[in-house]
Amino acid sequence: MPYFYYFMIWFVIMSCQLVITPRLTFSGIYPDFVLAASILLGLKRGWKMGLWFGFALGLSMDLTDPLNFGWVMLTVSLSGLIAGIVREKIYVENNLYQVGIVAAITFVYYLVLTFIESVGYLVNDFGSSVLDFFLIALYTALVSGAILLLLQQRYRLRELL
Amino acid sequence: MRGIFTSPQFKPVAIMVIISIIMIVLPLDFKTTISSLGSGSVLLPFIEADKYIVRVNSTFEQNIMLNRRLDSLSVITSNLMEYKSENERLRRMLGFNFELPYDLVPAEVVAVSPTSVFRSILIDAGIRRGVRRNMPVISPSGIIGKTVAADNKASTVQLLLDPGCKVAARDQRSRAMGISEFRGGKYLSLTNVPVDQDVAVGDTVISSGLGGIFPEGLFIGTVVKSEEKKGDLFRDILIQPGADFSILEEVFVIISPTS
Repeated sequence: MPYFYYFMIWFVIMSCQLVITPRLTFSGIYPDFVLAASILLGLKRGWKMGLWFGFALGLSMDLTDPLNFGWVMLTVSLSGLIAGIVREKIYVENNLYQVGIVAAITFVYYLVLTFIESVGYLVNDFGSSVLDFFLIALYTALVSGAILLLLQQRYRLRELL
Repeated sequence: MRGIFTSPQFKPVAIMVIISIIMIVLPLDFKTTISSLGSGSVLLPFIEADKYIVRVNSTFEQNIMLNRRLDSLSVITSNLMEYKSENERLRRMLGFNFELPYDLVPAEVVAVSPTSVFRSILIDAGIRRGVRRNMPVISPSGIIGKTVAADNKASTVQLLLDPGCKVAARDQRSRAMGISEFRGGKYLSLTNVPVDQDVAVGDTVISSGLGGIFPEGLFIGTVVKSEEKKGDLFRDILIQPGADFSILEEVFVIISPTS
């Protein structure tokens, strides 16, 4: 794929994350476009795409949060890598299955990231935190499902146009 | 074990992990500089687009509200002009000199992460404008957080919504002392307040000035829950923060209390 195509994917995902996500946030629950994109790229295009896109997107997100610089890059790229490995080992071409993978990895991602950054925070309010992460994972999975459906309709759209 | 090192994933993952670890262990001041450069270049279109949408959304509502207020304010303004000239004349007569109790540096928020669990923001005021580490950051609606790193042009602000940002606080009405900190959810917690202390829902919580960073009397928020837990030594108190962290645009850094 040409580099311009990669750049456009990065641009669209970052636009969604930084401009659209704040508009879709309800009571602190938001869809994580960066994570969803890394996982979907890993599932659709293999671990290399998942890893390096996760790396680029995570690095871009780290620029907005100097206090936790580096952690998002590390965990998002590993999420993309895990999605790619899942594709190689137990891949099923089914939207529901892929959305389920996105939800599972997102939930574990938030649990791990929070554990790394502040164990005390997680321990103090474990039940509420886990519920929040579950809802974020669910929301992210729903958005991923919508993206998958949209991508599948693109050929039909092209024919119509 | 040998399989791990010979697997095709090993080399790229090792490179990525090493780069990430280098980023993580960088000094916070250096991270602030990188974030400042990145936010001012790579992320600038997204940040500006986000700000533009926020402004457009708020402009319509503000326009209606401001038109209503304009009519009543024009009458009040003419009265106030009279009072102002009278006030100035009387101050001169009495030798009064009014000043704010703090030296403030205004700053604009240049980067904020929409999804990070523990939030910090980047502001466009740094060492050149007198900002250093551990300086309080406020908005007209209350405490925002404190600076944790500063480079020449930008500073990193640790928000009250970060579990590491604790403020020595007190109930303005009953003077009960505690520590304001974030423990998850939507609210701040006021911890270490003994059960026999009088803290009621609706009370105002302000900084007590005992922590050494935040001066006394800065507004933190309003108590929305104050309960005694059976067998617990301390009250379970939740505070609604005064500042709305989702729409931060302009903030003020308190450089020093005015002597």
